[in-house]
Amino acid sequence: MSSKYTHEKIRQSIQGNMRRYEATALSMAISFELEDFIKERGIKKQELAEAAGIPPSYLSQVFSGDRLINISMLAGISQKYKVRFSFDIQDAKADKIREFAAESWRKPYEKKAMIYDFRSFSKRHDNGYPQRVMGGDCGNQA
Amino acid sequence: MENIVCLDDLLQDVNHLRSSRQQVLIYVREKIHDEFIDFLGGKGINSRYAPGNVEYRFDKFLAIAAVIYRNTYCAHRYRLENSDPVVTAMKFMDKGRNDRVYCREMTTVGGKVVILCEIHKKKNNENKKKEKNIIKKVAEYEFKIHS
Repeated sequence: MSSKYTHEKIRQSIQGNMRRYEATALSMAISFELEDFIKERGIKKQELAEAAGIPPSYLSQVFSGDRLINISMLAGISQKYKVRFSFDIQDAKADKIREFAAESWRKPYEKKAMIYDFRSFSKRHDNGYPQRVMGGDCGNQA
Repeated sequence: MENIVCLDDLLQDVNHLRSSRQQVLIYVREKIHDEFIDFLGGKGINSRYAPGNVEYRFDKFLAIAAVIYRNTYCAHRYRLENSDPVVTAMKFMDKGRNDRVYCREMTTVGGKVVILCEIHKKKNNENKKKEKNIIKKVAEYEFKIHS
């Protein structure tokens, strides 16, 4: 490639801000889950903003990646819609970018936020599911 | 035919958000690769611009890439401009600017390929003649993807 910039050098330039970029990625992952959630439930963005305790314009900025989501917003949503949020912690080997990308493509939900629905949990529990406090399959809509 | 350069190795923070149904890869035309890196670095508008340093707009690019990897469109970030052939616009609306990167989407056996084709410093909200001409130009690009 005849370029004056190598990707290795560009990666070096973003090293100092990796925490910020990871935060953007995490926030986007959560907002994608929220978008799916409101689509499934037929909830308007304005209602979600109200539940989260923020103005609708702020929520739009969160969905477009301009602002980061915060825990108190999730707490408000959790309270209003009786859902529980859960997060997976996975080992991401950043030095093996290619393998990581391929691996995560096969398992796309691994590092995403999940929304647990109490109603579907209790429904499944009532139908004879073994009692569990928390688990990967307890009502995860994904 | 033009050469294209894969950008996925710069987007490791959002690689894992890829759609489960379709693999999505992001490329840039080799001809505008350096111009795009300068664009991310804010050349001409960033007082602390340094060649090869993309910090200025990299977080915006990450947010857009997350939408692309998810195989969706978003009016605020990544908008569908033309459906056949698929031409899209990445929106870099920040710091009083309304810049765009027009892209071409192509479907391959392995999934979807998004190629960044034209950088445009948009000065208005509506798509005027200038923007329509760029969209038309991007729609006419021909790429051969070797999988």
